[in-house]
Amino acid sequence: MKYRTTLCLIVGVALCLGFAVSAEKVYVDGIDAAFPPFSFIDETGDPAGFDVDVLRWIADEMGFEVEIVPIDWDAIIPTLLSENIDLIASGMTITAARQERVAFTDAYWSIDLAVVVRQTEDADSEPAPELTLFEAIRPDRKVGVQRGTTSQDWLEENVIGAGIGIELMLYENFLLALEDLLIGRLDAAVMDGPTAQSGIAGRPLTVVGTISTGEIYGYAVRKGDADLLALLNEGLRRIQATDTWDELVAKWLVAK
Amino acid sequence: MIWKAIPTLFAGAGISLALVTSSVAVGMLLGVPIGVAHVYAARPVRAALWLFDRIFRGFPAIVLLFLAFFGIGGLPGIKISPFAAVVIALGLRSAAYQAQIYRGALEMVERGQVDAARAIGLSMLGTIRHVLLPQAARFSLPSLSNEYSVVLKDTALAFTVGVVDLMSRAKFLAMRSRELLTVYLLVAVFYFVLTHAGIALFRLAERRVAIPGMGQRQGRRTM
Repeated sequence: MKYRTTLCLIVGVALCLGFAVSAEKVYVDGIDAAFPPFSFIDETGDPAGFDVDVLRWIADEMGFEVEIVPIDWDAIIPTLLSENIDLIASGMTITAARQERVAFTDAYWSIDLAVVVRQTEDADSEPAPELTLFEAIRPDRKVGVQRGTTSQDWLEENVIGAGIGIELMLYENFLLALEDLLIGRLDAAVMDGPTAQSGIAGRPLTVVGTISTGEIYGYAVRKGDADLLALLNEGLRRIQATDTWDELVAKWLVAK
Repeated sequence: MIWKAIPTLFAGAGISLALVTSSVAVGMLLGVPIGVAHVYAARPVRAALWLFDRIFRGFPAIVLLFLAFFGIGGLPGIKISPFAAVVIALGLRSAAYQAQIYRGALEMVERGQVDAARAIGLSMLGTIRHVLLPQAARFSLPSLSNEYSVVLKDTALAFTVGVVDLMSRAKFLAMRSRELLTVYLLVAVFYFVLTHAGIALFRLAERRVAIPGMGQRQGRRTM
């Protein structure tokens, strides 16, 4: 009988861990755990990145608490809609398709897509891209992207949609695509510009061209969550008027 | 960089351990009555439990996780934490598998035991409680260590609904350090230790409840 009581205790405690209720109102920010330089988990297990620093500043300034948690990117919008997180501040592009499901703050950054290929040596033993941009998107080339990103959308619409039969390989995150590019399983990989810079640092990879989509990033909240949207918009307006904004941009987003 | 991050792996291992203990415990609390019902309950009850069994042993764990997290969580007015969703999904699944373990164990007890118990006046419920379950429990322990091992591996899916367990900690570290092979080998060691430590505990339990002279090599090391 003692076994049963201990068993019940264990189950009870464990379930309580899950149902823990927090006393104060805290906004939970979901991030892609592997999307440097905007959001990632560093080696001590803590969230870091441009979007993380900016959001923390905004929370401080506007007087609310924020908890930043890593979420599987594939499930991030459903997790927002099911109210397990309250916002997404993670290098997320504002798109028409996403606007149908969530509400975005004002845009705070703009990027283009980068096409990454392996680096080899040219005739003078200087580092050079293995392929040109247009060679990379020829039929039967294997091109890798992160699932559920604008890179995937762009290639599907403008390359495959235009009848150019590249083989599009989808990855859980762009870093895995870069790993496959290094091994040789891919001919090229396409991703957001700043993240490409972050991913190729220190490796024989290079950005061979840019796709000028001029896409814009915004924070996502649930439709109808007007209060949080207003808080975030006001916070963005304020931080962009300070030196902190320039410092953070220089720290995270300027290619070194 | 990896060695500095090992504490995060331990933190993740703690969460995975909490997940597997809760899920197996839920599986046991539900699995025992369901297992007994599979053998002794009235037909309508057995029919309903047959459906439960087909569903929870028929769907992949990840589908059950999504159904628990987005399905239950999507119902108006209900908010479910990721941890609870994993425990519910894996717990119910484990209950279905464990019910089969207990059903088999119950059927292994000699018919003579039941006859004798009824003959001395024990009710069916009393027979189950005092004669059948204690013996069935001994028969079911070896299979339970299997169940623990399987559920522990299934918890590796927990990040798909947002629980930061050992597997996801490993993923973050692999991405950050770019040493994929090293990190995944390291995390394999963590899972190895967790699995075999758990199995050893079940082994200990087997030895503790073994009845000397009954069965072959009961409780003694065969593997």
